[in-house]
Amino acid sequence: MRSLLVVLTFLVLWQVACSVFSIPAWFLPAPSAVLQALAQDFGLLASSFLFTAKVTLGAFFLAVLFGFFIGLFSYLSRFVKDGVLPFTILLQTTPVVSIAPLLIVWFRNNAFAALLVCAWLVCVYPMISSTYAGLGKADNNLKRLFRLYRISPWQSLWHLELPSALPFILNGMRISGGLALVGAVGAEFVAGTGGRELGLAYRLLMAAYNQETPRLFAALCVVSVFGIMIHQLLAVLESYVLRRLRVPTHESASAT
Amino acid sequence: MTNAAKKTLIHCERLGIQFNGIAVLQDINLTLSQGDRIALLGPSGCGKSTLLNVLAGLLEASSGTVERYLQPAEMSFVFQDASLLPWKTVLQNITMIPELIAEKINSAELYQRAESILLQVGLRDKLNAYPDQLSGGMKMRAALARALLVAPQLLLLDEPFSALDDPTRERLQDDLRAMHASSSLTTVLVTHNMEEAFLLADRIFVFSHDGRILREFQVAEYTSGEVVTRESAALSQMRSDVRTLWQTDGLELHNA
Repeated sequence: MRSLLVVLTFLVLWQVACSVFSIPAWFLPAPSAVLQALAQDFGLLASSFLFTAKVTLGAFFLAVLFGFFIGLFSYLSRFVKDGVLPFTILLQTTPVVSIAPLLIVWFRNNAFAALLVCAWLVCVYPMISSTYAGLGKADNNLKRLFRLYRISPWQSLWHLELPSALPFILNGMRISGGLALVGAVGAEFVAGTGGRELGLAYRLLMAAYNQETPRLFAALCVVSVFGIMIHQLLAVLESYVLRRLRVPTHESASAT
Repeated sequence: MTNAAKKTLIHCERLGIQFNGIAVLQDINLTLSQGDRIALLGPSGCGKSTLLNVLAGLLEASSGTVERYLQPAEMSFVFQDASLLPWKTVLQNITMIPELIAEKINSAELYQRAESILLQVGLRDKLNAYPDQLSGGMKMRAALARALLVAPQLLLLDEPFSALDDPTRERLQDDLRAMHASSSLTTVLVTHNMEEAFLLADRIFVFSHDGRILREFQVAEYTSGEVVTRESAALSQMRSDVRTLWQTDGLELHNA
């Protein structure tokens, strides 16, 4: 509620500043002008949003799936961990958008797949690292107890390590969700869509090129709102699961 | 029961443990028989908990021999932390191990036994409570109940009361003594607290800072058959003897 009030105050001040200081719309459009552009371009923005959303959600889904299993197998096998390590370092240190032109070459006939892979590369690492780290956070005493009673590694994984890792995995999902959008928009900036479907990054670029700043802001608004929606939805999911697990938010689920 | 008639549970001879070339335990000779109440007393880092892990079979000896005449399922552990899973109720926490290790289980009988043990440790009314609804003392009682539910012959206690406040610790020590009096449970207690060792053990092995057993104290020799209490003059005498022993060994004493 307080955040909403701050945002509304900011918008009012912005509107007033634009009127009082006669700021030209090509430099900084007033919120009312942005709203007008949003209404006018609704159809275009909606179809662009759908395209970017498809890339973002697809990349996010794949990141959760692959990130979880890569993290899990790295935890279970030293061999996998050592094999995966150079690639995870590569993912961390290489600006992934710089790979986008290469992906366009590889996926010449499928721009969507190129964008998807690019966005996936941006958002998969937090899932791998949080799954791997989370699995290692299970209570050491209980691990000793499980070893004492010769409880199988699979039972230990299911009953102890996976539930203990859940808060970390959910946190990784939240970070990954935000990065998926960054990756989708960034990849589209670099690679273009190359097809008929045009995403929000294309709208941003075209508006900037034509100096239609209100349109640019309108597209930016859609990107921001989408990002906030992803973050909030994943935060709600995280909070719900942690409440069910009776683990305070942002704390480990290790035994008490 | 005389010593000769007692069944030997574990026998260690010239046991040594090394981690990365550093000796953690040296030349440990110890025989643990049924009904023994042993305390391993020593400063932090002297290898007491390591010895407990060796006795449980969780750690291999680097040198010497360890002979165990009981199965892993006949042992149980209580740790310094209660190590309860926050997403399980007290009842679910304490029945988890028996449910995982049993090939076939009579759930009704298990729950009945669990309730009876929870009654014994004073938690009968908390069986459906979650760990975050329990005090520190209650959590330790739940951990004790979990250990007792597997009906162990040998209970390994790794500084179980050291994280508790004084009144709670004393109450739990009294509960354990009452349990000793009413059963033939064998216990090995790791502690750095002389009073605790004196109250809860018949034999006290005093460790040097470098992982050797300096001397075995028989509590009965100090008490001359009197009931051991916190106020016993024998405790002061033993405390003085242990301090002298440590000082001779070159250990710097503060409030040991």
